[in-house]
Amino acid sequence: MGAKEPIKIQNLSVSYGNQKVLKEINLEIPEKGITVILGPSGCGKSTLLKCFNRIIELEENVKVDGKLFVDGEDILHPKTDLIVLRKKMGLLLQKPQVLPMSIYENVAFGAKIHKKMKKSEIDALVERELKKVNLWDEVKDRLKSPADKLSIGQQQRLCLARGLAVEPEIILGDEPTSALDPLSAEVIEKQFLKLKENYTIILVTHMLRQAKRLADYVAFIYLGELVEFNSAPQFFENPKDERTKKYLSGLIAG
Amino acid sequence: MPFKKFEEKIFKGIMYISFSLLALSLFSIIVVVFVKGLGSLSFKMLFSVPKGGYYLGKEGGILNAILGSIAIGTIATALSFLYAFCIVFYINVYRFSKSKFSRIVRFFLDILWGIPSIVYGAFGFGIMLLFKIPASLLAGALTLSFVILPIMARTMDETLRMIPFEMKQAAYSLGATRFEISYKVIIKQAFPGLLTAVLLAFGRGIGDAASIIMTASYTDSIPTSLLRPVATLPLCVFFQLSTPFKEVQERGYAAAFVLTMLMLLVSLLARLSFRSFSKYVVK
Amino acid sequence: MDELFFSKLKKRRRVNRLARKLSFFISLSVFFLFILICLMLFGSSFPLLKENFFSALFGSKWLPHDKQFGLGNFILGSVYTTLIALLISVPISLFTAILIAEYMPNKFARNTKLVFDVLSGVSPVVFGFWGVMVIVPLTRNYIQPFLASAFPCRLFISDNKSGFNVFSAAVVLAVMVSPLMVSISEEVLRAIPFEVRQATMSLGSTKWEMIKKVLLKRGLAGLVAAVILSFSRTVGETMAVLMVAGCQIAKTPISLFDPAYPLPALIANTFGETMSIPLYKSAIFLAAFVLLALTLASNLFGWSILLKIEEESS
Repeated sequence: MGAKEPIKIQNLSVSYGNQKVLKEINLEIPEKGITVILGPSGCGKSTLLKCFNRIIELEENVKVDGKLFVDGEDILHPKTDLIVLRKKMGLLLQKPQVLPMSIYENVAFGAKIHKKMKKSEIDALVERELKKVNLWDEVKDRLKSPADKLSIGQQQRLCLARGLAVEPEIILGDEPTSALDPLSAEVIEKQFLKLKENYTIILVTHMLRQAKRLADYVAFIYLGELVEFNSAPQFFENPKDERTKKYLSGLIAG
Repeated sequence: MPFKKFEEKIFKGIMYISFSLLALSLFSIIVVVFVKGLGSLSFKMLFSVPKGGYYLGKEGGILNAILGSIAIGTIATALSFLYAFCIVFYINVYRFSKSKFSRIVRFFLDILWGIPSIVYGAFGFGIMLLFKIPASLLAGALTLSFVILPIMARTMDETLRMIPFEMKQAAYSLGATRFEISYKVIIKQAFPGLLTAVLLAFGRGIGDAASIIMTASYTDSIPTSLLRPVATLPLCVFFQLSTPFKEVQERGYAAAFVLTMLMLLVSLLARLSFRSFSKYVVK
Repeated sequence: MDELFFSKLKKRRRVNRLARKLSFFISLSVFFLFILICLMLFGSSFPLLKENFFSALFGSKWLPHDKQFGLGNFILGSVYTTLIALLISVPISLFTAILIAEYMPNKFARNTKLVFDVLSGVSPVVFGFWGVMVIVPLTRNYIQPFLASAFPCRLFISDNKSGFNVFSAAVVLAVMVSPLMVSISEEVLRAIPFEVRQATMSLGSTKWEMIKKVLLKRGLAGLVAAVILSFSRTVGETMAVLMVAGCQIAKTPISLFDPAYPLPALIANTFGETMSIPLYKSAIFLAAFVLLALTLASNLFGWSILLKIEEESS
């Protein structure tokens, strides 16, 4: 599971109208473990993340240049099959977005779209994924109730289960815990640590301590540029760039 | 300064008088409809058709118009719903909501909204003459569906634009096609708003007479075929009221009453539907 | 990713493409519908326009059996009735809008608007019905005699004592269109930023003074737009005028109490008789075309004003 080879980003630039938000990013993301994209708010981290499954194209006035290789193919090429690509990736947004359906239907949504399945198969799938995110026991008696009645932490776990149900290789997380209470955040973080054995995980965060807890690799983005990329121990203990040092010591806000 | 305060008092008085005049007039309409209508209601009035030919006979009731209005209203609303949904779905899902194409479509919907319903009636009449189609339930319903299309589309459009962008992002991220997102996610989230659109359009539709006077004609019988003329409540009021016979006029009062009650009920339901039917809607 | 997935994917993509194409053409059709309406009406009225353009539009002789068709009286009837309706409606609507926007507490204002919206959504035929039951007798028995004797001038004196006249129609139309005008005017006033009001009030003026000097000046364009949009709504109204305006051919309305025969009423009343005489048909379609042009022009004008206001404020 997980990507078959490292994800290669070549000269990736993204502009919103006239404003260039990402400037010629060159990066190679290892196919194993958790890569954290770190940096102050508003510096292009989310934009970078949304390029991986090309969700960025849903926004208006966006221009994306460069190449992004997943499993050896440039997914920014117009001939890419978006559905196949997006099925490979699971996305967790900052504010959990449950779909307007029951808990059961939320989890089953993606899987049902891609494959025709028998009811028993769907039941098994829902139970399996909810168990993966430690939500099964809390909701097993009310699977048919509306999903937006759950607490925000439960909703985020539901979104994670929903994303895992389509059997992705890569999990993308855009500040997945910043809207949650500390208890729920901890639960989600624990999931990621468990999941990294089988999935390629790319997390965006501006929280330094979370990065320290979770990261195997760190890419530091500042003002749209890739400043430094290294394995986590190296990054935190031996930062090479001045800006990295400043950020790590708290001299740069965000 | 005393003059300024005095001036303000005068104008405030004018404001209250204006408001009262308007409110009074509107309420007196309801009062007149009630007073005249209740007096002429009876079981026979509501459940039998007029007898005596050429809808001027003194016997019978307004069942023809009641059923006719419901028939033409339902068909026109259904046709209009399908038409409007395809348009609104395309400009919001397959195109950016603010794109040039979408804005042009909305502009023409606005233009269509501003066309008086008698003009639609003349248009429908012209088509009928051209293709030798008789005045009928079908012709009237088609014409009426054009009249209510802009209202239906506008309300639907506003509803779809309120769907949170992140919800669509999440659904696309799971690998759904645009079509799948429309019928699996958007319809569910927008359901109360869509219901409101349908009800508002239906209410407007059954009250319109100008578009169907030329295309649906009138008749004494209840609607049995799409290709025969059909009676409607607004035309019932108009025709029966203009006769000198008291019994016939009574039918007009009853029709006005039923029509008003129906429209008020639909209007109320339209505003309430926002709250109910939203079990799975994410707030 | 297995075989099942890819075969289903193919079908899903096909369905998506089909939905896209279909809904694209349906969206395009709103443009073609409009063009079709214009063409149909113009084409049908062309035979008459070809014969005599000016007398068809502006002539006042309407003698179908003599093949004379002049829409002049009908256009005059429409415009006259509408202008009087606006004359009645504008002050009432404006002051009501000011009351709702500036003096009413929010909750009360919201409920009032709701009630107005609901009541004004009532069928035009019911407005006509109310007109026949209430306004026509009022005009016939009280207003007309009083005004004719108190101010004996061409405006108030008329042979027509039936009560079905320009004035009655104008009153009914005014009540019909006032909720719309109140609604637009109220929005225009509310759109003026709070700071503007604060600034003036803090200099010690009364609320009315602030309204008079600042809001009405800044909101003037929007209020004018409201009136223009109400004009198009009113001039296109059919059933209410049909029942209340008198609808007598060959009478040029001069007095308020003369009968009028607005364009929509003409179309609704005579379409059935048009079969036997070919030019008669053209005349009716010409009436519809004139109505279309009138309302379109007025709407576009009103919207362009509102658009400009929006652009200026952002």
